[in-house]
Amino acid sequence: MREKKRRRLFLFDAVDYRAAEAWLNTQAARGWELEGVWPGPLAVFRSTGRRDLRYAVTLDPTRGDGARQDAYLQLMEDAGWKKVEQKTGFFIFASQPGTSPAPPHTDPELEQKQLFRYIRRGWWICLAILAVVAAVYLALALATGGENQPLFSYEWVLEDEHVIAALAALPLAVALVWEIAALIRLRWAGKRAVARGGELPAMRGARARKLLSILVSVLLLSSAVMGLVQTARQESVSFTDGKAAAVRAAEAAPVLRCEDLGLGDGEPLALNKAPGLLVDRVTYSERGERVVITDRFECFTAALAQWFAEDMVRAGVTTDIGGYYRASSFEQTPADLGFDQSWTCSGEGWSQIILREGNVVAVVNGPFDPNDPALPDILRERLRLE
Amino acid sequence: MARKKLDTLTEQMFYVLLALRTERHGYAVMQDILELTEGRVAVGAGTLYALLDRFERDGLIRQTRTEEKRKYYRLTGEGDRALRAEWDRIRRQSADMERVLREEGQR
Repeated sequence: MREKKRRRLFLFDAVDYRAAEAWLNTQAARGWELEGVWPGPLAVFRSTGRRDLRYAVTLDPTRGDGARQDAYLQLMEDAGWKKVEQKTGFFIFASQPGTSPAPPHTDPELEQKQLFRYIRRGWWICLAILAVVAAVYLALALATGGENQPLFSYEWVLEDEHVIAALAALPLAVALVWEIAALIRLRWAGKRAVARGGELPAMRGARARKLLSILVSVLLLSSAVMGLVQTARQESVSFTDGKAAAVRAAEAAPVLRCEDLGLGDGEPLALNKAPGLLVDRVTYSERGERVVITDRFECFTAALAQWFAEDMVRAGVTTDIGGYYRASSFEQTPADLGFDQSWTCSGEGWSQIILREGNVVAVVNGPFDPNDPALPDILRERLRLE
Repeated sequence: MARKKLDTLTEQMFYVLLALRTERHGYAVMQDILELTEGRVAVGAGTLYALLDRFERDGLIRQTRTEEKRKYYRLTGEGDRALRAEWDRIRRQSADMERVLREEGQR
């Protein structure tokens, strides 16, 4: 007959070893014996008729030292506890058949000290990592001239990895606050337990906190993957593909060409399409007497487009060949061109328009007169702003 | 100083040191304490491991040998002094209690 098995999510971290122990003992009381916790959070149980089965979960006191670990496991086995599973930072033991071993922890004060020493070590490692990240960030900021860049700018929403990472920020903050609150609560509950000589209590909400931390990890991992996916989805046609191919691509794309401005037949330089989660971007540049550059951003919502356009104006950038931005010394002035929003700035022989219509933002840079009454219609038609 | 914290031993610490006046491995220490106290004091394996680790770091016990993954320990001179100091403290507590009770009885 096939052995009866069941699988359950094992959602416990090392600091929640007491909660894990209580959960495993509940499963044992229902007739389920732990076979193992496979890579990932999946616990596999098999049906058992044992009524004396109990579980003990302890933090790993050996700090990963092989010889110390052997001695610890031997001591536990001598005491009636057989190792079933080892996870990061903790061991799971089952009582051996026909025995009723004493619980591994008989000194709640010492146990609490061990637990908080383990937690402190984890926090120090986190702080060290954060310090390294902050140092790198600071070094990069200094290397780029220490410009006062905002934490979150229009350029962020163009990169899917940043969008996903920003999504992870909220659950990460919730997870951190929740973890700290649970630790403070445990500290007080532990003190009370020590005072009355009882067992150290389990931290509350262990499984929910673990689920949240898994969500954060998945989002952060997806962020790295999404960066690669976005790069793979980009399309590019340039003059190296032949003028005919580049012209065909430009004709089909919602971009401005030299001939639209009555500047004759221009030489296409490059057309790049970069689809994103929140913003689809099309960049095109064409060389006539001077270069005409179009950057069109189709945003997920009109509200996002409004913020995007206003942030570009705040940053005061002008666009460059290839869609790169550089800080501009020219002031962006609001202009009434018949779009939802628009701003212009002009230099010697060139002008730039930043405009928003609905959920589309466009930046057009070239040798045109922004006050030309025909320009809005040309832009509306060519950039497909209906 | 870590040793300063051990000025007063807990009951479990006291019995672990007492058991190690003779060379023993961990489980033998647990059994010896149970026998000596007739089951009144039980030291869990996890607690015992932590205590042995701490005593060894503080120089109160030393590891003598390892046999089939079992580590054997024995009290050091410093451990013996700590144990005797605790015994002295307990005896003085006991003597104080007896004197108070005697005085109460005389009234």
